[in-house]
Amino acid sequence: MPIKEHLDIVLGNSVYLDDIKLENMVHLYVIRSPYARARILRIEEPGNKALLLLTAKSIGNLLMPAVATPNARIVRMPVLPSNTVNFVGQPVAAVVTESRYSLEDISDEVSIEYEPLRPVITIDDALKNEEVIHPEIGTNISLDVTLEGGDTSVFKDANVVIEREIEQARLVANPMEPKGCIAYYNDDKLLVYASTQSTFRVRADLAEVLGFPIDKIVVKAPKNVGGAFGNKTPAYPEYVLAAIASMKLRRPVKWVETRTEHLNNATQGRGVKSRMRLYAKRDGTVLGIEGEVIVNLGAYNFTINASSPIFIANLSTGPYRMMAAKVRAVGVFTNLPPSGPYRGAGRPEAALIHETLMDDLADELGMDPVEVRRRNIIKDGETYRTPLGLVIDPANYQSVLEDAAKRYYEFRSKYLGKGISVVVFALYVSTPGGEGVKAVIGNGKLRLIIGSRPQGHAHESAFRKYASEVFGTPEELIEVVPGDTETLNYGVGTFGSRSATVVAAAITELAERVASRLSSMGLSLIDAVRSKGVVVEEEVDYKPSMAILAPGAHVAVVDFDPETLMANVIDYYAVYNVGKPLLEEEVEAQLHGGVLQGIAQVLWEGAIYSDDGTPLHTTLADYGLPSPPDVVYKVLTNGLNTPSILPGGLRGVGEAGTTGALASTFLALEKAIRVKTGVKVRLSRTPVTPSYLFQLIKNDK
Amino acid sequence: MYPPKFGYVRVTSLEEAVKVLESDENAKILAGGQSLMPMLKLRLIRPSYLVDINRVPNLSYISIESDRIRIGALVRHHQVEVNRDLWKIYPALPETAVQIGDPQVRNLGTMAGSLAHADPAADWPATLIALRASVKILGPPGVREVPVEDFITGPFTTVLGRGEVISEIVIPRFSGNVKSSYVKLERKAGDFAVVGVAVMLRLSQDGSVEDASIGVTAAGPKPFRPVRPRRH
Repeated sequence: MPIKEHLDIVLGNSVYLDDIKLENMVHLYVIRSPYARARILRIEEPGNKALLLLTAKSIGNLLMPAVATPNARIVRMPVLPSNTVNFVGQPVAAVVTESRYSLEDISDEVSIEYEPLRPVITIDDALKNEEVIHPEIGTNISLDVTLEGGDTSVFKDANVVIEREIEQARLVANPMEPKGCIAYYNDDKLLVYASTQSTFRVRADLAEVLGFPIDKIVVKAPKNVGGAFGNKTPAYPEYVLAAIASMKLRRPVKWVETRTEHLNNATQGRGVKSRMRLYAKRDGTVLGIEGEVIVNLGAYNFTINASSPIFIANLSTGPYRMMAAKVRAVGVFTNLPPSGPYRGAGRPEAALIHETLMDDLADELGMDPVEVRRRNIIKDGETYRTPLGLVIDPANYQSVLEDAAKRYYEFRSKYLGKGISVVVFALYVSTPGGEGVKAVIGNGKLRLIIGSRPQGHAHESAFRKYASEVFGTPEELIEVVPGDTETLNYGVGTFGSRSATVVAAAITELAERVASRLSSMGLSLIDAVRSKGVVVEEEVDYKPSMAILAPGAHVAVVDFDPETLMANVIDYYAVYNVGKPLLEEEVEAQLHGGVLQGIAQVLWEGAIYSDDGTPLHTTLADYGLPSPPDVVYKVLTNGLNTPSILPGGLRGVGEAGTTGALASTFLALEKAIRVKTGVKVRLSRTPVTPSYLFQLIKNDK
Repeated sequence: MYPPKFGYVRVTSLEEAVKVLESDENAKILAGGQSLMPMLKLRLIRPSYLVDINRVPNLSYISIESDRIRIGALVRHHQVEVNRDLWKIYPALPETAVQIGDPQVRNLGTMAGSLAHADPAADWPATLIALRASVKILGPPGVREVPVEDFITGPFTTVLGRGEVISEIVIPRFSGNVKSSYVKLERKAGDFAVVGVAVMLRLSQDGSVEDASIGVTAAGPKPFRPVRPRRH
């Protein structure tokens, strides 16, 4: 039996943002900078063909929100810049017309004169500070903090020191439907439909930028958000422009991002350079790590990018016991689109850092890669505090590793002449903030309004099943409705592998609250459901005090063709611990999708820019987005579930596929190259293109 | 991602198409549209008119004759992919077809359209050069025939002059034991070729090669026939 909401999507019975049409609606188009860095000299208006032209002059100096980060120099992104553009694709002006068809014709007539400036594109260029993008802070460095914990003097006791440098290219989220919104200002209220992961976040952002009372803004999402991958969490300058346009015109204003725009718009993910040393004893005991993580933040601080280097640094010790760690977390400005969370948002980056080091250590000591990990892994049932202060809640890291190890040895004897890797990680589940869930009981239904926003996830089916268990009511009586800022008092949204965990915890508490309220009313749940009219309305805003983590281990098999220097994953195994699976097939599906993306980062994907900041990834083909024929492997999954300490006992899985697959594919590829060419390469970038390998192998031979 | 304004003419014969193209040099033929439509939406081209030949009768033929194969201007890649006779006579042809784009592209895109577009990484030219095919061109003065290797003159440029359209592709047949194949190196399934090589061999009775012909695509500004292949 297919899952109901998936069937709706496949049969075309769903509604995307661009399907929503309001009466009297007009369309907004954003004119974007063709330069990575330039001074805006003049904007010439297109006569009276447009209903409205918005420029920095007409809207004022409005700045997008950015998370506050201690010790960071924050430079926020203007909705429209008044003097200088700082990335190709940056909004410079907006045009509103009656018809979508005339939009681009009229926009073509807006002539903008620029004086190009020398752009800063790479992390290395930014660090040189020869050109400073934001003169007001006098440097390209937004953040430079050192995280340190434990006794770093143990480093001098090391018998072995390993070092690895890796630069990960930027990635584009590429949801099925790009971003978009409809803003309608009417009767002193602003109604916004947004293709979003978080209606609450969009509302808060719009209120902040517009200086508009938050209770006058309602944000809703279409039935189907066609993928989001972190890209659809905050409000964007385009949403602000649509809101302003609607306030001026008093008509609904729609903006929908095109695929071409999406490839070079905020936010992009990865873009991380790391140089990390690992200190160990000759017996394989890891003492600690020391090094730096530098994130290419792009042109501005936006959404949570200011703190992203710290997040990666904090996860860099992985699921291993260490005595000390010292990691410098740096964020630099460049003339690229602002970075933001994308599929794992620091988790895959960190896993790649600690897993390459573990394999290098095994290699250096001539030890088995499983044995090195076994010696250092967090014990089953242990609460472990990392040297940098992250508390890893009790789980089964040893068992998960051992399960993967079995498959690793099996693959090693089965696939001769291929590259095989095993990796293990602790997936950070973003539970902080929790989630709001409301029960509305009566008229034959137990309606559950949830704060999470599915983006292709089966939230409705999964939480209906879970609610049926905890409320002790048949599924047929339960209806799950993704909520928004109108139907819930409190909500957070779907990102950071969090929704199953926090929504299930909230439903667990809600069921208790409802039961005690009903008993005080002398009603059974079934009576309440059957009664005419709503008899109980109860909202739980569940807020856990800590994050939890989910163990995972992956095994990848990579085949490499030494003639073409191309590679493929041919077999794959993933062990997970989700605490308690709500729908097994959904857990598996999350892993399948994530694994493909992790593989793709290693083999194909990259938002690549030339030295002058011109994007070279102008189409999906250039970008390297995988498609179904690229899936030439099967993924076998296995759950070793142990309950978490949160109500309901769940752990997350959303980002587990990507997190494991980036490291496992990277390492299996390295081994495959070694097996097939005899050259012991140390890969130091993604994507691992044939031309990069050609240089690497040629130099090594 | 919306095209600029353009006019649209549906013609019922290639002669009519020639007339339109002759009178307006900014008009462009619309066949399968698999390159044309994306370029339009990206506003890379601004044709005055699209001259739609999809309703022209009798252009979708694959005619297998004793000494040659004629492929009509509206033959889609997919038709070549599923033609049993071609799998027997020249496997290189269907082998090329199945490696183009994805099923949607193959259901609409045409061999003639691919040649006229002349993308330097297109698949067909390698195979058609190896098979010594030629392009039949209909123009204001009448019909002329040009070998595929001379037809494409550079990236996205051909010998097609004002008012000229491709009417068919002619592939000669050879007697005896003929083998052919097309091999494409691509980064990901359905991508344009990193390089594509087609080979046709005529073998004598003892299995020795009597005649060899090679076509290469995506390895230069235009597809070509390597005249002196290196011996290994």
